[in-house]
Amino acid sequence: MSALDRKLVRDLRRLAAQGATIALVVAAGIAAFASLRSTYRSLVGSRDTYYERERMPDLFATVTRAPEPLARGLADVPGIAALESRIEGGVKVMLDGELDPPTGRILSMPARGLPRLGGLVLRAGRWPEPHRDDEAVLIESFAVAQHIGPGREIDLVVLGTMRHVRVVGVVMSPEFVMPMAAGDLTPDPQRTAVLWMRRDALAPLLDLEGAFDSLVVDVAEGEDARTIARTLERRLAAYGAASVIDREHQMSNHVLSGELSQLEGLSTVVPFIFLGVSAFLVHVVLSRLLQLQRGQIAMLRAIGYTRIEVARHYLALVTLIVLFGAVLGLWVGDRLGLAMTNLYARYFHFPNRVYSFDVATGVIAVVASAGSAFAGAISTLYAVTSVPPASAMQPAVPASPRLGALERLGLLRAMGPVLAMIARELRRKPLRALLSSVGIAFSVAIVIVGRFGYDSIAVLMDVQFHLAMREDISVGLQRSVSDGAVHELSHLPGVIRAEGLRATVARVRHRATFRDVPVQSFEEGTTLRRIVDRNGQAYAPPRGGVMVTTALARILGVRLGDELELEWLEGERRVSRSRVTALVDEPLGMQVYASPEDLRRFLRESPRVSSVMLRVDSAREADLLAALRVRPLVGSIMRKRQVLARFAAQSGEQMRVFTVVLSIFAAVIAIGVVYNNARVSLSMRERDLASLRVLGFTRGEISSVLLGELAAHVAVGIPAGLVLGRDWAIRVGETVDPETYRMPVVIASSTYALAAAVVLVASAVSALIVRRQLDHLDLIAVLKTRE
Amino acid sequence: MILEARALRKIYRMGEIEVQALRGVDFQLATGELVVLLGPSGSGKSTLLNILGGLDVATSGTLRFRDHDLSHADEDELTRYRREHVGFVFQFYNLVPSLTARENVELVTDIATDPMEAADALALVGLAERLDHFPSQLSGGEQQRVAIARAVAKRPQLLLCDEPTGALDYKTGIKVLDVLASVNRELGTTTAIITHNAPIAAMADRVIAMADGTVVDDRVQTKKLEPAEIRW
Repeated sequence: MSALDRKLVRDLRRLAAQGATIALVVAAGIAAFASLRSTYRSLVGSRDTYYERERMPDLFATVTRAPEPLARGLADVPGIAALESRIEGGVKVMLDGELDPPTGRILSMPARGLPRLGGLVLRAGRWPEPHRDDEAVLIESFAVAQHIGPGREIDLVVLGTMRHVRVVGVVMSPEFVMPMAAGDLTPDPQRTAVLWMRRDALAPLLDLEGAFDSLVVDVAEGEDARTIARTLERRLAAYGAASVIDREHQMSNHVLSGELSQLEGLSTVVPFIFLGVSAFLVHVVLSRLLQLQRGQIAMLRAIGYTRIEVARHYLALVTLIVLFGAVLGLWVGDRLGLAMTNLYARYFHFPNRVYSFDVATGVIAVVASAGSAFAGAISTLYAVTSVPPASAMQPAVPASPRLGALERLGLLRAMGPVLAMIARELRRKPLRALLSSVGIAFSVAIVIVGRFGYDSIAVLMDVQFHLAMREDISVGLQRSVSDGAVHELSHLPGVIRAEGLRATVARVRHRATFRDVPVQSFEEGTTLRRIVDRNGQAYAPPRGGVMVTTALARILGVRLGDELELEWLEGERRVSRSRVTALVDEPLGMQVYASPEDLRRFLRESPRVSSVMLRVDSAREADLLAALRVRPLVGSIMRKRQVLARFAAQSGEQMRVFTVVLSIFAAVIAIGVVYNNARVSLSMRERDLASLRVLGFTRGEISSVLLGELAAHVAVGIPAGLVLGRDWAIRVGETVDPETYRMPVVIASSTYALAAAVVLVASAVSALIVRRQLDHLDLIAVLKTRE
Repeated sequence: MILEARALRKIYRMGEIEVQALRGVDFQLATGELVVLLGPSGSGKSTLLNILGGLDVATSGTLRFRDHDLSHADEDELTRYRREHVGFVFQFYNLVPSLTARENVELVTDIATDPMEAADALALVGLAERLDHFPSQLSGGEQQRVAIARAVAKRPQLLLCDEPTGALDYKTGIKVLDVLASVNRELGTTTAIITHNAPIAAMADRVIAMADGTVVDDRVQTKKLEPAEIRW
């Protein structure tokens, strides 16, 4: 081993603390980048594999009732690779002790064999025997949440008729990765049942013998699904309320995509911020570390080492630090990615949860970190070795402080020598101060970016559930009925107030663009439901025209006063026209509001409601649920408190994990910046500080010279970080698909406080460590040696 | 002549001030001689030594080492010159604190073409017993002797010493000068020693005095003293 190599080994040992903090910054950047990207890719990969293997349909058609032979004819439509007809309907699962019975869907599977499209994955038990009319398989998410295993017998209500069946198997389905009841905000596996029975057994229950009400289609490679959808709609039009949706708008897939797109936002912008921040800091910190080696570098050059040899020696040091950081970062990133994938996978019901570390991402992360570290090291080495060794061996030229405004105003004299030294040092090295403050600002901003999503969702939930939906319980009806139902439900026990809402679905068209969206209407004077924009501003329901969600207006390209075409997707598919008289910037979804008079006119119907909103005396809620339970008209029951609690539990868990992880990363970065900065300052100013001690300054006083400078960096860095974090949050918010959410970027004061606190604590810890080193400063030794 | 400088000028910019460190210096070193450069602080002697050793370049003038023109040498040529021909001893030793005495010498023997053994070089300066001590475990005089061992281990043609006793007390200083004298005598290494301490000049073959960036005196000494005989 050459003497230089031995120096390398011993330098590494000597710089262990600084090297470790730098390696940790590298590791934090790589881990955050690799874990978030790997999580996203693993989940997308799992979904794609699942969809492909089980032939997730491309199109989903529903009609009221169509004769089975029609399906055979439709299979010949050009561009269709496979088509399968089936029957499906709503179901209520009557479980003992459940006041409001879980609801869901019941679907047919072929009389023999298995569905070709939207394949089922058997997880436990067996398939129903052909021709058995009392056997069913149950979706796993519900089975697990309700502790129902194969062999359990349950009562189902289908079309108002009670039916006793035996669950013989537990399955997964790509169509129900996120089983969610209509109107719910988050999937609730415990409340959403999906069952499959043999078709010949189910048909009589749904009154669909020899007929179908649902079609799933696999579109051939390269064919346009939209065109085929339009063809199918035309051919199915005569069979009632025909609607064909593509996979994108299929409920489970839509929710899944929404979740993945949020994660994508998080895994696109955030990792790059992390990696960028870490790369930047490693660059800065390494440059400073090497600056300190100026004297030794010059000596090596003086005794005949070439620039290349010197560079190789110091780059080896950098390489080892970065390598340590990279290995640690990849390992942590892999573990963290697995943990996050598992966390998400708890809500995504995939049979094949394949977590795989994304190697390309790892390579990018390592290359970026190492590249930046080397760039920092090389530029510093270049600068140091460009100076003739003779001058490099001299101590750096003392600055020639100029008297500035502070002195002219007599402020510095008033501040005393310690503050004057701090102020002059800051003025003398503005770039160093700036870079330190930037580093600190970055750590603050990272915490904010990691948390703001939850703050925003909390506000969104508040707008949605406290300002817009003011009911306690909303009862979805099996079908729209005369508004007498409102009166009927208002007499149930515990109901304080009942109001009706009419909702239907229309294909809303403007020029060539259209979307299938809900159209809602409620009477003026309704108190349990309001139209509220994302800032919490309430809007009066429209009159003499329709009100459109801003997001929908943007997609359709309509402005106030433009005329929309509304094709009603129920009944005879009438087409109406109406002017847009108001826009509302709602936080969730896309919809159209119409006045009850207009909607009645459009649909040519008498006053009807499709759901009833109830204000309830919470003491009598149980009685009310029991009463609702036996009403055949009742399709679904949404209890607001329950939805909110479930949402809080789910997002709370994710938020805790993210907050902890990101705070650790931010603290690592803050320590990396503050500690290294303090160490470097200490090394550079050891002699000054020792001289001050000799002159009679106390330890406290000399610490305040050094730490005061750091405090100034932190004092500038934290507020800057709060502003920067907000800016980044807005950018991340912009990546979320506006068709699903329009998150108001809101940052809670607790998030700002946490971000500042994390960095403040990390800085304080670093300062304390340096203070201890300062306390042990050997005055004589420092003053005697020059290096 | 091993080294010959003509009309060397050096101008530094120190912050905003322009300093004329050398104002046209003519200087020669004959093979094997021991020269002492005397002068007060700021007289330009360190600047001259740095330029002679290839650590710095003159603003104008010429410098020849044997038949090499160093005045127009590039960075690589200067590095090769230092690596192959010059040994340096600095006032503050400039040892690597994380390397032992032997390893500090090996820094040079690792890259030199025909070096002596590190242990031999250290024995030459009387440190055969302190091979595995770190600089922090050595006295100032010992550290400076390690630095000398490091400088001579490559068997340089030229040994340049910048205030080698500047940081040492009298007794230790004499010991270090003794080592330099013996290296000059036994290895025949051409040696230039910078000092502001006039009595040291007594050990030189030739004494050059500098002031204000120029050579003000250049005299050959017929009678030189052994370092042990010098008093200050």
